[in-house]
Amino acid sequence: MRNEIRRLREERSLSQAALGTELGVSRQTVNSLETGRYDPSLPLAFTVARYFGLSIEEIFHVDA
Amino acid sequence: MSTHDRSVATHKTTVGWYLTVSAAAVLDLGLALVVDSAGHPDAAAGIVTGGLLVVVLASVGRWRSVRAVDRIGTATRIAAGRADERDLRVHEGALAVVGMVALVLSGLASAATFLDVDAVAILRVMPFVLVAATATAFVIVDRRS
Repeated sequence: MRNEIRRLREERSLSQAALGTELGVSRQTVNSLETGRYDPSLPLAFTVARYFGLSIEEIFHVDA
Repeated sequence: MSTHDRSVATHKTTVGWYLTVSAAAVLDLGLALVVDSAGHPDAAAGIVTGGLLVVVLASVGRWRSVRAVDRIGTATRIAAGRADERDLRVHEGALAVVGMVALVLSGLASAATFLDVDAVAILRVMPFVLVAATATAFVIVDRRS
């Protein structure tokens, strides 16, 4: 699953560690999310979407 | 989750971690006493050393998770009781692999006893093989997640 987390994070000039703190996860988890190696749970996806003020569909895209 | 809720959750996690580590230390010492009273002082010493080493490593991990939260790895966060959802998924994935390995190994070990391989030796080697399998599986799953 692709996502826009890296772009959104960089637009806000946040480090992975800072975003991780905001989302309540580790820096490694943010890195894994950005590289697509880890797909978040639904609660974490909602947390990410809420943090960026977007919908889940605007951040996460199913690979086609 | 409000700040108060998060504080309560953190407190519960902290209490749970201390209880778990304390229980592990007591269990380890109790097992060592039983083994020692059964006439195996060297094995008892090994159990105490190995068990308390794990407790100390978990405590160091807990300390580092507070002091150097951005520099610790997945295993340290799990040992420190500060795992996030990815850490827990890595943990579960590694344990699933170890479960399959244990199933296969127990079958092979059972078959080996029919070939006159020493069953006691197999039983004593098995925990070390499973620990090695756990570490290997953890590293692989962690790198892929």
